[in-house]
Amino acid sequence: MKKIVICNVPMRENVDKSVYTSADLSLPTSSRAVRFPINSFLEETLNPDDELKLVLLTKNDEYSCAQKNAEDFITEIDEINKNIGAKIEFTNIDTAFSQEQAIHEQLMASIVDHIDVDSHILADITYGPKDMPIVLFSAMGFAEKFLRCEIDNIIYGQANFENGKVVNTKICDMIPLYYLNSVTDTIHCDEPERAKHMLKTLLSL
Amino acid sequence: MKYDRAEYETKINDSPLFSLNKETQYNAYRKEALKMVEYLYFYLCAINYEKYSDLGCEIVELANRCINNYDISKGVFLHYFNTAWKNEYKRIRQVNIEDDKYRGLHISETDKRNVRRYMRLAQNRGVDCNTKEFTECLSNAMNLTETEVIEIIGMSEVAVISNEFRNENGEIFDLFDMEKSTESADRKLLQAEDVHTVFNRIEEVYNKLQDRQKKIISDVITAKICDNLEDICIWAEHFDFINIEILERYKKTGEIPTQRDIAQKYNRDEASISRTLKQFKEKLC
Repeated sequence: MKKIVICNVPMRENVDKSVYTSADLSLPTSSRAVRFPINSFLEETLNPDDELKLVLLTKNDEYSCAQKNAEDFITEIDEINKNIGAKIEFTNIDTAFSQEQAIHEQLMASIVDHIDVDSHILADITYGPKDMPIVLFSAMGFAEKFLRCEIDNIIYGQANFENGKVVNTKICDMIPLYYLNSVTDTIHCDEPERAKHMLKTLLSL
Repeated sequence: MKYDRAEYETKINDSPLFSLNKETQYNAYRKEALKMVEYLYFYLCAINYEKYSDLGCEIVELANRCINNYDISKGVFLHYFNTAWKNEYKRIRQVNIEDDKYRGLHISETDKRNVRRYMRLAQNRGVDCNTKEFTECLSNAMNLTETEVIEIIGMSEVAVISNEFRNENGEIFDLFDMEKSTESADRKLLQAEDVHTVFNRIEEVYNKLQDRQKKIISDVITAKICDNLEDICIWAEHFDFINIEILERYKKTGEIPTQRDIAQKYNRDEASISRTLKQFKEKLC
């Protein structure tokens, strides 16, 4: 299966490793301590016949450690893949740390350029500036609609902090919210109150 | 936009939704459930975009009910949904037609039914329903203005004459199905294809009852549906569960026994009659 994994890479130094847990059987995690939650999920779900394209999104400025963190990501997934044997290729999309519209649009276009037609997309939005998930959602929406892609998971690693240390880490999947947006984008409804009622119905599924 | 019906049939039939556990695989379940709603909407748009594309809210609600109520014993999910949608669409059409018919007048189901009963009673006694005396009498009895009574009489006459009518698209609708749908009747009962199927099923379950239960169920069911029985084919009167006495009295006088009347007849309380009916309905489904 062709999979595209898009991961936001943090800019800060010293990203700690953690063991991520999950209460959802459809979102399994490994017992290995990792820096990137998506890798905990991939260790449990990656198959030998998968073709994985890793798209790492880094932001650069004079203080950014994103390139070093991207290297750590590659090291981590290579270690995991030793026991699996999937085919993996890496690519890095580096953009300036800026909230300008032109940067957002450039990034979205670059992400779409790296998405192959008919592939399955997974994303990790744990790290990175706040604009990244929105840019990613836009790119994934395009890929689903026009490139015949399937959006499988949008992973987020939740953590609490105690005395500056990361504790109680677990992974969450925002994919239901993505598909909720997809459904409401599709359905016609001219009456606002009925539309609100429809949303409540969808939320009760 | 062109929708491919075969594509969505395949997506619906191949969906892993019903193999997932809603409790232990909730993310995957919610994702597939939302995708299923979208597929069902696109599927109906592929069948008839003009008819169905603006019924998004209704489709979402029905999809939600079908997804929650479906299990494998009900057959293929798409067939189950199609049957449910057929009935739901009939109900939607009837509500729209009645909205047009009643031109914005808000008339309760009870008032509509009572007008028809009074008219039937009057007609059986040779009274002309189009006189001022009749409208005055009905206005006083029903606590409506004479203008409202005249409007209702004018619009009710179509429903009184026939159980079937044809809309502007040439589609035939059965009054019995639509009336029960708009009266919030048991939806599971209404998922049968037509009245004959429903009656057969009632008969099948009815014949397995003990005699004392049969009498009560016969009275209650006949009372509930005799408003429409007269207009349905004669064969309806040949089912064992129809109480001919109640039906004949209704035809002559327009009277229908209430649940209290039935409870008194069998020396029971109303709650007991309700329970008996509820148990019977559960056996039907």
